[in-house]
Amino acid sequence: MRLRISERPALHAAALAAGFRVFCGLTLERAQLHNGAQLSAIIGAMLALPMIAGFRRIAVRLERLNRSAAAPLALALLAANLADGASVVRTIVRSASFLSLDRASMAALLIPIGLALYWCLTRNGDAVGDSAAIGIRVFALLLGVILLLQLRCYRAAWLTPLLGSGWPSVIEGGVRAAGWMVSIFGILTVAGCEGDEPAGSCPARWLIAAAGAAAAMISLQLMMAPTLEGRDANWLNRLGALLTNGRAEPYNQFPMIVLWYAGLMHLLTCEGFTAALLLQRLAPALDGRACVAAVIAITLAASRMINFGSALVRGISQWLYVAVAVATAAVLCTTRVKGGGDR
Amino acid sequence: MSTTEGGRHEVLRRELEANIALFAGQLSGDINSDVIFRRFCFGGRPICALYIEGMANDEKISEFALRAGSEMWAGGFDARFLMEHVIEIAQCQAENRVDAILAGVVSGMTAIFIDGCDEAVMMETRGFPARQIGQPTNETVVIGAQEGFVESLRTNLTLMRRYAMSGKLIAERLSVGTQVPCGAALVYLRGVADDAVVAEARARLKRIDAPAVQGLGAIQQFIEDSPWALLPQMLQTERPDRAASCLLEGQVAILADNSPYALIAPVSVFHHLHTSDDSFSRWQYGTFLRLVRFAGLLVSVLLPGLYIALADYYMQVIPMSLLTSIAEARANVPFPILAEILIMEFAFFLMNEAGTRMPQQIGSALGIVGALVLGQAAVSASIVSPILVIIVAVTGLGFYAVPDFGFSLGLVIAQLFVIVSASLLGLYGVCIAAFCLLNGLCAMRSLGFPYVAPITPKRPHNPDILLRLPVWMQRRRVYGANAQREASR
Repeated sequence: MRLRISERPALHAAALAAGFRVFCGLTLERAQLHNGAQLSAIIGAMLALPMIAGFRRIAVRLERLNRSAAAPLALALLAANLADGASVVRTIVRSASFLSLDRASMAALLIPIGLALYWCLTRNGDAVGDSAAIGIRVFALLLGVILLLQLRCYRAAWLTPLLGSGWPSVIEGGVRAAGWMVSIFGILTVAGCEGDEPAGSCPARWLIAAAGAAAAMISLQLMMAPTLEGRDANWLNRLGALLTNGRAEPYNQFPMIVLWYAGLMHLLTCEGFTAALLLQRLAPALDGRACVAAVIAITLAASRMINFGSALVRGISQWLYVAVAVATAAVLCTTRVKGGGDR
Repeated sequence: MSTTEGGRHEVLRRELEANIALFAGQLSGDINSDVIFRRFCFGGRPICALYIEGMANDEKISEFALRAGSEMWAGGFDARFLMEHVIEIAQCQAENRVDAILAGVVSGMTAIFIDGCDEAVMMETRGFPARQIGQPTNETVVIGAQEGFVESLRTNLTLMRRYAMSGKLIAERLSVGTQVPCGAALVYLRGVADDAVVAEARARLKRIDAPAVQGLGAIQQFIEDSPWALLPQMLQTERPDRAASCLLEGQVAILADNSPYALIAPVSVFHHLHTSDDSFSRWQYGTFLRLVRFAGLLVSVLLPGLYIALADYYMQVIPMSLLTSIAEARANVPFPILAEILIMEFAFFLMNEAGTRMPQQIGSALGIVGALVLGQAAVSASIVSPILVIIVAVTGLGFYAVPDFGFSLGLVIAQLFVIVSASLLGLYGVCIAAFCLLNGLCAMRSLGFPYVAPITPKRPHNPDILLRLPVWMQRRRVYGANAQREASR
């Protein structure tokens, strides 16, 4: 089986996943940002923008050049997606455990997600992207429902001070957000324009939309649940505040929980598929199903060690942008020397 | 026995007796008393008409062949002379291939063999009894045409031509099945349907190498894209007006003998939720009905699973008063919710199936008896809780709101998957199951076209997907070559 994804489905998948990853990351991992998180999302998009334009050029050149030239970038993106996928799996499992399945064993929670992931990824990339395109519409609908249900509860005053803990913290959050965005939008390096793909898909537009959606979701969350440093120091408390949607009535929490699970599943499939696709490009002899199985096995195994908010994930996200930027620059320089131009 | 070049087709001989012996052997004429070999003479020359009693119209044979021939002059003639000067039937042709003659005779045509001539005249005398055009039984509408397809392919083609009166309407006749052939027709509008789609449909039909194909149901299973998928990738409709409207959108229709419906492809998942009523009604009503149907679909697939997930695993999102009444209702029920739901679902589908197979008069009574007695008795006996009866009833109504029978059966199976996932993992299981179903849906293709198009991948389309906006806003064709051309403009 040959794994593949067209450009437009790749953009759908990446936009949804990146938007949700930034929301999760800035809410759960960087709660000390307080109100500056929205600005961090926007700054992250601005930092990621030139890199994503570079990904498209790399994707075009990779068709003509030796794949070893792109190996450093592919390896960096593969590692980033595997590590982040593992943390997403862990978050899904912790969320399920937190909500209702606290007596279930880790294996009982991991096996279904592994099977579901295998089923979804072996449907191939366009299905992953198309389901994300539907997911974007469902997300908009769910956010609309959440907004309507809680319209009276929002406190706009809680959005101030806008800079939260200050510029340094906002910029650091922006760099992390950019790291998540570039690693997820890395799918563009291996997305092909196949079939009857309509022209005109614009990665910058999708990236900005993802950052905007993340900023909007963070703002809504902050208007429902003001961040309190002492209580929020605990990752589980922050997750609890997120899933119970702050001060929402218990029966109004349902759409938020559905949105949370659906967002994490989309994020996981996007990262899992990117990793499997990169693996197959690095080792073309491998069958697509084998790549998917290998990625799932690694992700599930690594999920025992990695968690949102853990020191390891925080460390990775701090340097992710720099690592991918260096690898991208290296590939662009190499291909320019070898290929002699963009044509 | 002589053959044509390449030895592919056995052909007729010049001797009449040899030809009669050949067809008597092929059709077991000594055993089959309804295979008629009618010998007579035209101008002193031995001739034989071969037909099957009941399949061919005796009156046409006597009127246009026998009587006309009796007045013939006594000179030399052959099959083509008979066609041109004697036989008054509108449709007839000369044929020398044995298999073609055999296929024609078993389908009701009459073959006339002439001594000394190696061609037979094939006369269109089909006159077997067939059901008259009547109301569609499964796709009834409140407003709109009240005609449905019947079992005769010719009648169905005529209906298609009536509803799409255009010189561009093409009906390609095909034969499917190697041993027992089944007549079929690929119908499309030339210039509207994508040539690649037509070619693909034609190629798939020709690839069928089964000995016998019984109607469109079997044809569909042979040619659809994902035979393992839960949902059908082609639309079955028994309404010629609906089939014709699909042709106008660039889709192709497949008709077959003995099948009172048409297969439409390529289709999207949304086509399975549309009915003719939507188009006949004003757009506000059509849109409202479609939204009701779509809600019914979601409810039928997700509601039982969500009930299990919330009542078993995540009670805090249920309002307290409702939670209390659920708990009180379930107080005397000894089974877990999963068992309750499975019992009720089984009872529901058992009643449904029994009602379908029973004679109509008994079937309607069974539905009422089943609903009233069985549901009430189950609640009284504390086998199920009253709220569950409501959930299963609403779920069942949701299934019935989906107009396509095959599609709704696929949804039933999907619902069971959601129920099992919910019972194992609560809301987490429901989300995983729904996510898998969504991905499966996005991976499906119908004659090569994405099953969730034109929503994703986005394609130019009429505002006629979930919402049915005014007719004057619908100027695009949904599928086909022209849709692609419009997209590239």
